[in-house]
Amino acid sequence: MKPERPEVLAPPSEVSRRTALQLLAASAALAAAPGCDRKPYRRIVSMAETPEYQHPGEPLDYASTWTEGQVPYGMMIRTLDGRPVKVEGLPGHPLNRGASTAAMQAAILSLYDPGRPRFPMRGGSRVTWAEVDEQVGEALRAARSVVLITRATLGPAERSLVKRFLAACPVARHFVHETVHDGPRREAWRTAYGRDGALRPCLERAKVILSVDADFLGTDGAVLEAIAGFAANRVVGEGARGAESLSRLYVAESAMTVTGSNADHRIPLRPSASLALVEGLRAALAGDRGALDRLAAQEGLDAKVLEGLAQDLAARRGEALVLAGSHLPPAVHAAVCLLNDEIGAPGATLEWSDAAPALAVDAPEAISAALAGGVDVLLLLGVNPVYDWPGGGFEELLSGAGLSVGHGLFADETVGACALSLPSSHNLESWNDAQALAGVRSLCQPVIAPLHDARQEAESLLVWTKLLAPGDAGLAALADWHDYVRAEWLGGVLAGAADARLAWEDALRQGVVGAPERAAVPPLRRSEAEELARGPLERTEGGLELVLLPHHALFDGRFAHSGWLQEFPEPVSKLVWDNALALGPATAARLALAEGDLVEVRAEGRAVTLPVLVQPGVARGVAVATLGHGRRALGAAREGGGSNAAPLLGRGAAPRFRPEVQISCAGGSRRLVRVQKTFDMHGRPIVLHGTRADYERDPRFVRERLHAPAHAQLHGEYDYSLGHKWALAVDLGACVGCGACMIACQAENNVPVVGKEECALGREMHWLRLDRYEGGDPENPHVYQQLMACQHCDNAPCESVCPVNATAHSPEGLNEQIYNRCVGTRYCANNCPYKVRRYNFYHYVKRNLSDALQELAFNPRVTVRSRGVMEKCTFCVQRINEVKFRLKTAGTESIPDGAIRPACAQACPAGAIVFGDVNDPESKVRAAGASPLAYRVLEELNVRPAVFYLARVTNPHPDAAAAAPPAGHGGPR
Amino acid sequence: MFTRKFERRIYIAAAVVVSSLTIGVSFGTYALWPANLEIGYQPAQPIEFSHAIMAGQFKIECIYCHSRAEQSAHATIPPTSTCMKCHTEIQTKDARGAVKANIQKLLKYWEEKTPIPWEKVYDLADFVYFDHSRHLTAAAKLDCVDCHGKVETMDRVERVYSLKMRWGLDCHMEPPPAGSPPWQKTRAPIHCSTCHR
Repeated sequence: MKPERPEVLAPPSEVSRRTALQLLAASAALAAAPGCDRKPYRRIVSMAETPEYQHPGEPLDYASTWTEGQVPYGMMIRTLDGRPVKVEGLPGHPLNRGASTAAMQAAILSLYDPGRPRFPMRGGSRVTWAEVDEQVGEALRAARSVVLITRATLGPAERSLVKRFLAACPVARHFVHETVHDGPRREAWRTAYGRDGALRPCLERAKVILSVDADFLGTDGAVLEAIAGFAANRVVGEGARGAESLSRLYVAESAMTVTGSNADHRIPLRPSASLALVEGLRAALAGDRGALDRLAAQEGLDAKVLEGLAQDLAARRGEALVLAGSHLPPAVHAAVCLLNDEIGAPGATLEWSDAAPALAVDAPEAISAALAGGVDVLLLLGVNPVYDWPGGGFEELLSGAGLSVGHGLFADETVGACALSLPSSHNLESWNDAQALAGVRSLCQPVIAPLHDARQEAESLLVWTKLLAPGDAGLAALADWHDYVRAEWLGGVLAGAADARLAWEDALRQGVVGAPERAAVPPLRRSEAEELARGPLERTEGGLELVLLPHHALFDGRFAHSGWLQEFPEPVSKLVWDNALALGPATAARLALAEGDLVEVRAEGRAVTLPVLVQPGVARGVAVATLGHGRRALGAAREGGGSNAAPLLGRGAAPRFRPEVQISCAGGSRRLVRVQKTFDMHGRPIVLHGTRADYERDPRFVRERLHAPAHAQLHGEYDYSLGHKWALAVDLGACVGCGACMIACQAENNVPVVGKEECALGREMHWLRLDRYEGGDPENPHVYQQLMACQHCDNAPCESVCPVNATAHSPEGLNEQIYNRCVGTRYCANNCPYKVRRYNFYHYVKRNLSDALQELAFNPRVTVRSRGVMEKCTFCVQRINEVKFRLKTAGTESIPDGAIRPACAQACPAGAIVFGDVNDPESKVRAAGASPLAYRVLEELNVRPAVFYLARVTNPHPDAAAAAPPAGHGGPR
Repeated sequence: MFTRKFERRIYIAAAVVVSSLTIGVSFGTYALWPANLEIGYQPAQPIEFSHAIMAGQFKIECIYCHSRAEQSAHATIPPTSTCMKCHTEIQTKDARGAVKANIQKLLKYWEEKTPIPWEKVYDLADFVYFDHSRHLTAAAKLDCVDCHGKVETMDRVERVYSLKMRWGLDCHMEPPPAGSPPWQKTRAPIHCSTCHR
């Protein structure tokens, strides 16, 4: 057949595009004078003496512990020329095993945050630490009442120091303040088991899991450990693993969470009915199905799913597990303890740890009572009650104090309101220790000298304790907090070591010592548990039930200063820089509310104004708000918006669950920016999935759902038969959609923050995004999530349209983007079917820089892009080159599988991302590619991506399969 | 003498010649001024350190000071402590019996523990990633002089190559050495991410 326009297909005859451009460039160069392009003069400055092991430009990794979060994870910090540039999980830590969370990755950004206070202040003017200590020492000695408030996540050394402080200052009382904690759960455990400690779920052993409002894959508990354990049972087709190894996840929840998004059966349930569900299941296990049926009828639930759940719990005795959310009242947790006991979970899927990682939290009423009459000295170490006091109004309590001392990383609402505002050192500048599990102790060491005239909270407390107890010879022998931690370790964990110095240095190098102690769950005290589990829960008739959840990235607000985390799309709503009141579509319709409408939420006289977010999946009669936004005093992220929901927190046993709130229209609206505009796959085969039955019928079921007709190949074929061919596999079954990869990528590749306004224009810069699709019933949708980044196509549509050859193909299969050649036509982004290319509409990096300090956060191994340049995922080519060069220099051409890991794969707690060389017959990525579940997105376009996906196989109960995802072409609409 | 029209043409021509000469001379002067050269750039250093004496006369190996060249991307400028390995003892006097001025400068930097602010002679743009170790070891096996010239003859180090992309590509595009793996079509890879990322 003759081509319609032969001149288009004919090879260039005389002047090719390239030659023409060269001529143009040459004339431009002639027009300018030669030799005018000398680069700026620069200096090369060496040190007078080099520290041991440190060489310019060569990375040095330090083991440490992340102590900013709810759970202390092991952390490995990469430093270059003495400055930390990247945080990774510590491979040797038994809790997170090398994985990391988004907030952990963002620790680098907060270290160099220009908003950090630089020196201690008294009444708005700078003072020295000596003056601070003198004033605090005098005040403490003269005080008749002292109150010390800390976070719950103090390490063992800090706890011992607090004890010594209390001993030295008998008038002092110590309180623990947190808004997001598992107090109700621990109270129930204490009652049910008669001791303080924590039940640890072993998800890798659980084949049937019921979550009762527990976002255990999102924000509730040790999520990194939970994700790894859960994902291990969600992978099929790997090696000899058949579909029988799949676990089944039931989620009964009020909000739509990350955990609910991964459910095989999701049961939208208001929290007040959660106790009835657990009790109904207990009755069903005892042979009485009546309660469950009544609950199903009353709450409009799918009776078949509940029946399947009861069957599964009974049938998989010893392999089943029930978890309840930390915001639910103790009664639910007590009932769950009983249910777990009845399904044989203790000892099988539940373990006991005597050492709870966090201190027990004190009730705000107790703290208020202690502060009510006015105290002489109030010490606030690392807490922000002015921002997050339940019901609000901590300012009055603070103003009653004789001397208020606020110690924090930022001059936040509380620190700024205190008489003495003291800056704290960052996690990466501090000594500390932690106990994540019984038997496991980890150390936190500074990896950079303090950037500012700041001091860590424990150091201050140690100095003040010494001032109070001048006669304490033991304390006097310890010069500083480092000595204190070291002495604690040498006298405790490392006691009996032959050489103390060696033992200490060894512990520092490894970061973690010991192994988890597997303790048996204590016998259940049934009558006490039954007593506590007595219902029914308080419930509302007219109003709405309110659940207050920590924000997925900002948590309780402690990370709100971070631009990376503010711009992190919340995994469910994809909302950035904001929070909202999430209502289900039916609830919103009943109240005649649309997205963005401002409403006033009232509870016990306190009111908060929030915009409405219509979120499919939120249970009827439930409103969900996240904590952590609406911070008034922020660092670099000045755009941080949202509303503070903390005043809605209640008092009593379960402050984050309000059985009755009223909402009314506040008038007006707020623009909510969601970075994903549609949640519909429009019938296309983008995220492929099937049920276990589909897989067992035909393991290659995904082939039926694709239609990839034979294509004529217009391009020349690449020959990858020799050398390397890089590829990435994403297991959609394992990926839970936590988003740690996004921030890991941002940190590794110097991806800029653009702000809410630019996000609203669709200009966010994330190289890696998590797409989310919803299908089926809008009141209870099925969710499909997919990690999406540059697909590194062989027939790359971007490459063929670039007029300046700024995007090119490497012989190893990478699609390369060359910034210094890019002129910003954006043709490539226009032609990309995956929409993964990002354009610098402004010089975002320069726009964000207000302080030279911020430049230290950049990874020097990746070019910082300027305005007018296109960028996208590079498969972390800097890491590929680093490993390849190192091995080649050592004289070997072969690269062991797994030696190269892109930042996303390294952070992933689920192990869902596999990178490697498909030419290596032993490589994991090649094995993944050979899986019957492997497919490529938009295969019909014949762009031949180097990224492939393994279809998700769900495991719904066969009898309740009607509620499971329909297994049709391309998934649901 | 001439027609007015022709006269005007002469004036225009003269103006063009004069202005282009002015522009040409000024640009030319700028371009050939030693400090502005790519090749031949030879800045004055804070200490008049002579490679001709150290590497030429005393035959100290390059790697003694630029110690990471074979292991790392950076050859590295030595810390002052490396200088002091010898200069703690060797403190040559000048004609008047005082320690030589350059050594005095070094001792001052050392006593004050201040870094020496050397001027960078070989500098690449920030979007170019060069790795010394790859060029000195394994198959490449280049010598320092291949890119830096005969430093052992230079009192003040001078740049001898432009470090332009073309210069680098010319070398990478040479035929592969014997014994290279079969997929290697050129002496070194020439795809973009070899140097840019």
